[in-house]
Amino acid sequence: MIDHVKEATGAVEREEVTPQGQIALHVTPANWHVVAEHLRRCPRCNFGMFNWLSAVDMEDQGFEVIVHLYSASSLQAVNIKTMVPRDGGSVRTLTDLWRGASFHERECWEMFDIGFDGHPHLVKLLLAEPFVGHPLRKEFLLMTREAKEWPGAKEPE
Amino acid sequence: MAGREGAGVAVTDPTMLPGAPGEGIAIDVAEPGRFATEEMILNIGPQHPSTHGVLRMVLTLDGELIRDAEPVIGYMHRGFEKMAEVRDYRQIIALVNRHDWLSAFGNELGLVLGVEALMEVEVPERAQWIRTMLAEWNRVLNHLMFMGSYGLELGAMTPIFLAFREREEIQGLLEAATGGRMHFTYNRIGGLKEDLPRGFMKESARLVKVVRHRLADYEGLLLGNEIFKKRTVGIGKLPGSVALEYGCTGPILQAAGIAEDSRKTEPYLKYSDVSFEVPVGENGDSFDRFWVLYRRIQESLKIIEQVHDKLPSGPIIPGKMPKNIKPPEGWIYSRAENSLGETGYYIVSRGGKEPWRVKMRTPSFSNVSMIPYLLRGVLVPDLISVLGSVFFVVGDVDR
Amino acid sequence: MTHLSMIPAIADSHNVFLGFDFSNEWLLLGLKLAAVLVFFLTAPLGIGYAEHKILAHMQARLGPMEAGRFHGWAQLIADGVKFVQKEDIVPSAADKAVFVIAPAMVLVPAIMIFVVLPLGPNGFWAENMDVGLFFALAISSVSVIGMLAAGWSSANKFSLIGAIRGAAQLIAYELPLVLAGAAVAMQAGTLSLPGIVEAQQNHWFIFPQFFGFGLFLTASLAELSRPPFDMPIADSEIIFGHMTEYTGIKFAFFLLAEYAGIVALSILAAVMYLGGWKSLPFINFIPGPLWTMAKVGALAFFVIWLRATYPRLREDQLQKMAWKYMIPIALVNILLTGIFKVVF
Repeated sequence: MIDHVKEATGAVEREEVTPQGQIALHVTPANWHVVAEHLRRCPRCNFGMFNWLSAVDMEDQGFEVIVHLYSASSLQAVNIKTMVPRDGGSVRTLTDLWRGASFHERECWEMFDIGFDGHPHLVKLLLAEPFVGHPLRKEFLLMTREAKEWPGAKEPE
Repeated sequence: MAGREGAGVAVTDPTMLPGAPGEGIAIDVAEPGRFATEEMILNIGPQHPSTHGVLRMVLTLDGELIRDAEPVIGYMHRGFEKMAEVRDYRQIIALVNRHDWLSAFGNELGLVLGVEALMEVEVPERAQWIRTMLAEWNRVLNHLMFMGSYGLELGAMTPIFLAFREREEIQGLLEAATGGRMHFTYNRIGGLKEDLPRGFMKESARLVKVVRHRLADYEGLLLGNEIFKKRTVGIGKLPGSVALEYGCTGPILQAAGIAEDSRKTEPYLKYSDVSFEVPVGENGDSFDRFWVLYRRIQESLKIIEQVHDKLPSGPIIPGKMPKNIKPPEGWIYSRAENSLGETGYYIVSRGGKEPWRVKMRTPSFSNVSMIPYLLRGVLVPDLISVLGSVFFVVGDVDR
Repeated sequence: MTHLSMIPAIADSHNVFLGFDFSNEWLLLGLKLAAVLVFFLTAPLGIGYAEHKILAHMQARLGPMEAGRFHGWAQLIADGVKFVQKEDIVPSAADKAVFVIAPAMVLVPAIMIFVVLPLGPNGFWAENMDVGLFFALAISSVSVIGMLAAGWSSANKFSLIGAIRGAAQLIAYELPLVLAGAAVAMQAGTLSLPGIVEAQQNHWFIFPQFFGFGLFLTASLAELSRPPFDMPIADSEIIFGHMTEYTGIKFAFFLLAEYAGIVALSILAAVMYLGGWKSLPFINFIPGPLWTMAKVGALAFFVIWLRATYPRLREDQLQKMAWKYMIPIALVNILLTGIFKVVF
């Protein structure tokens, strides 16, 4: 299946298969939507289920944005990953392909400050209105842990 | 008679003005379809007797028709994902309990399965069977609750009391094993905390019979009730493809006609060694969602009985578990079919004893995002019927 | 076939009350008023307590157990005291005069209906009007105005929705109620309530008027906003309908009026269809009033049982049922009653 996608889109930078058998396709941010669209529309792939979208803070490398898709017909799951820069990074929105992307992209934006171009309603979802900052970035410190050492961090006897 | 202008006919004949003898009242008659009405914004919640917890819906109403609905969530956001980054793997188990508090055991499963897969730990047989049984008991707990509360929202007062009667007994059973009625924290990386107490299996077998016998009450009170059917059949239809787009899983997806259940498609624990069915609805309406819950309880009871027969003896945690759990570097997405849908965890490990990132994929988050689709074009009296049938728990939505 | 001449003479003398003969008109009047008030204040309490206990046992729980030590018999009295001492809040945007008067508009008709209800032979009633049935049904529909007034003056969107739903529902179900009553009046040949009971000495009217009985019960449930017709006070949608903004004694009046309505309509149904104070054959030694209360109890049990069992009907389904099904059946019922009266 991976080879089919690579051929059809020509946009997959590299592929990754974990020891547990999970697949990730790494793409450049510009090709984000291209690959996703192929996976959605191509009748052979038919990834109709949008499972989730999120990001991981990779420190100097930037943010790794991941979307997890599933095909109910072929029972296959695939991750698409891309790396965006820490400041001002953005990818194109996937809401035109799957309506469910809306909530996930809003949450990703408010937690990491990653832009999603073309999103119809990019406002805060989980955080309160007056909240300032983007919590899941590594430089945003968990204030309670700064104030007091986490008692559970002690080594067990 | 005066001339026509624009959108209406104005009566401007001077003899027809009010006060004039033989007069009428000056009326502006608009043509049908061009009568301007204002839309009303109605706020349901966050405190309202029928939303499950603190969910707020902002409805744009045109008379009694809902033009648009927007769920406003985040009232219970506790920052689990951030907190997970400072805790080690054993402590996160206690954290993720708190998602879907009606069936807390299932939340832990995805996490421990993921870490065990990363570390390539072999979980003993007995632990796997016990985990299967407890996961199914939790499913029964959760579904009983929703069966009761859906009836209450429609006006049937009795099923919820009966549901709680059953739940109390099951919670007592689980408390005997795990020590908690609601947040179990019974899983450990590699197995379970401790073995089952003596008498557990006998009590569990007795409860299966009791719950199965009492399920007939629900069938009579709700499933067969004409008024219940009138209020739920054909209301809130959700097509399967739309449900997939939104990422809905669990009973809602199965009611929409798609037989996607992780226990069958990607079996984990001992689900490949027990036989059960996945109930699939026909129409995807509210009645089907309710009916799927009812059938899932029956199937869960079947699974529990099979576990009773097949439970082997043995250890419940491998002897050589390290004190500090440090999975090797890498990532994994592991999922479990929790009561409300697919609860998955995307764990990124950098070799330390705390994870680098845990993304918690909760079913209610996706289910709630689907509500605007269902509510468009629905009348206000059906709002309750639709909203109650989309099963979600606010802790699951907000994490 | 019953001719008017066949109805045994009812104790026509206005001076007979509760089986005793009174010569002093003023004493009689005072006693009658006192009796009506006492009955009005205590019977709903009994029904309310029964509701607590019956619902509880049907739902696998116990119900009130503390108030009064013995199975919580004093629970409703305690509730009454509680309501009296609560703070009386009037919303600032509400129309004060109407807001305060509305509970009275609902309560007074509920009291007045008890004036004509007969409980037993020989004067167990306050007034034997010749148009007793008509008076009872007419006065019970005055409370719609009170409901609308309460909902409108509360300055609350939810109350308004509840009041309008309630008004529509009560108007719709007034017709089947009255038509069923008309059929009974035709059957009995009189509108006077004691007269209707006396006309049932050969057989209770439930047998010829079976459908009428069903219609009357259903319509009364809808009149009282009891489940499954409690959309106007649907607490999962509009909190409590027109009563949302009321507190304290005014709220208690609304509830009292509801339970008094259950008692009143049960007595009416018992009188019209179940033979009132007429006993079952061979058990004549039990006095009439006890028979009536037994029948009322059975009907009240049925009403409470319905509450425990059924979810509520949606408003438009309710209206459809009234206009499309119940009224035609009621009319056919009248037609058939007329035919049978003439032919037989």
